[in-house]
Amino acid sequence: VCKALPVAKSGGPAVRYVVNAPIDAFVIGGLSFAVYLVFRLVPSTQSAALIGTISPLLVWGVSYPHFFSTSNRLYGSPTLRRHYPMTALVTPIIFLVGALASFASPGTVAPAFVKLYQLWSPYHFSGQTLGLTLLYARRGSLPIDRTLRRFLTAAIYSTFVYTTARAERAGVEGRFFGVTYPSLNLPSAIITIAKLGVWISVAALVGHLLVRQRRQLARLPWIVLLPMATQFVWFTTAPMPVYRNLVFFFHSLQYLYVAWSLQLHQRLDATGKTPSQRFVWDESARWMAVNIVGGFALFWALPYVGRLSGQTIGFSTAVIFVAIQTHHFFVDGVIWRLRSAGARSPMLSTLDEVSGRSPSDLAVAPS
Amino acid sequence: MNGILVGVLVIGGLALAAVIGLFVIANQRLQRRLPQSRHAMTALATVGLIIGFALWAALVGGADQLTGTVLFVLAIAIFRLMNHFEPPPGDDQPAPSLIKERPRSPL
Repeated sequence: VCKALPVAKSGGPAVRYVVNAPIDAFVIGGLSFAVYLVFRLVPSTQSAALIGTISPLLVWGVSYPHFFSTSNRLYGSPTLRRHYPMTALVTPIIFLVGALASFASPGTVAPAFVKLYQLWSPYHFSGQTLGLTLLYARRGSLPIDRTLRRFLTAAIYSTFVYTTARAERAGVEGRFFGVTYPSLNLPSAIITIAKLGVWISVAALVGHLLVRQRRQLARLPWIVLLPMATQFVWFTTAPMPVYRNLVFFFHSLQYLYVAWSLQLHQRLDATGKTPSQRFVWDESARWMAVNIVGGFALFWALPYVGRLSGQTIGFSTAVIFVAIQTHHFFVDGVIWRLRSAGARSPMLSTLDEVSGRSPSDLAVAPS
Repeated sequence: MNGILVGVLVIGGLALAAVIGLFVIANQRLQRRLPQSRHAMTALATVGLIIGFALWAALVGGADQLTGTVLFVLAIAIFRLMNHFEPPPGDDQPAPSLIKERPRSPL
């Protein structure tokens, strides 16, 4: 993939960011931090009316397109379908069976199906956070050895355990559209242990980074730690229901940002066009339009198909959403591995390479 | 009732682990012919998790604290397992081996 593309010199400032430092910082974590601070400092901004006004824009313009972009990437590529026949062909059947069983058994299977989604979702977010951390480390030519990777993984996933434990505490009943599901009823001691786990893993990571610094090993650039810091704000701060609803948007925005960069590079390689700003605008508009239309098909049309079963639209929406999103979680865990050369090469490239700017920073990649 | 539930979950978990183990064995032997079999194990683990939750919902409509804690740990373990069994394309690393292959005779 991208053999013919020029790529920026490895490890320099030209490749450290997808676009540039301010925009990467804004998308990966800056927006999450800014909204959090505004909500905390000015509580009146957490109004349901305001969120009700902007949420359709965020959901239909960002969140749902991000789900479709995964499916589009997998099923639109014969190469990926050949690489992952089980993921491409078998997992949709499994989740379809889960959806059909939920329609057949709304009181028993459907709550379990939703519960699976509720548990998997923050785990999936953590996977993306770790992926972004490793991606930016590679972009900075920073070697992540096994020990550092373990500390990073522990710190990131400890927040998943903590937020899940908090959500599954005793006496809390959840509702996802038209499906009500009970909690795992975890004792408060588990939440305390999970919280302790977060502190210990963070302390261990900080200690390890200080030891690295004393040994004069390469210092982690701030952008490498930004995804993790962002997830800490999402998962470990005092709960704010309105903010929690926006976390899906922040996560989707991060995803679309990286997927957009990958799409531009692969499309340029496939079409053989000349890198230019015109190409970037045209291809970005085309790709987003496809994802938005696909998002409507998945998240608006399919629930109405499910309603033909005789269930309410709320119930159908819950089951269809769970089926689509869990399939997305599964596929995402497969197609974005940095160990895959097909995904790694364009993911380490920059916008300048497809827009034709800053040719002095670029070198021709060996084929 | 709680003891029975925990027993069912533990036995179910062990049975699932045994099935996954069998797949791993099959994977070791058939790896060259069937490199994608680890995905089947991932799918199997997912199905196991869905069945586990269905069992929970069917029997109690909500978990008591001990059952919930067991399910919580089981869910985290299965998610980790799924990561473990997903190889990227071009990954020429062998699958994690649970069986030591016998050294072959040079003859």
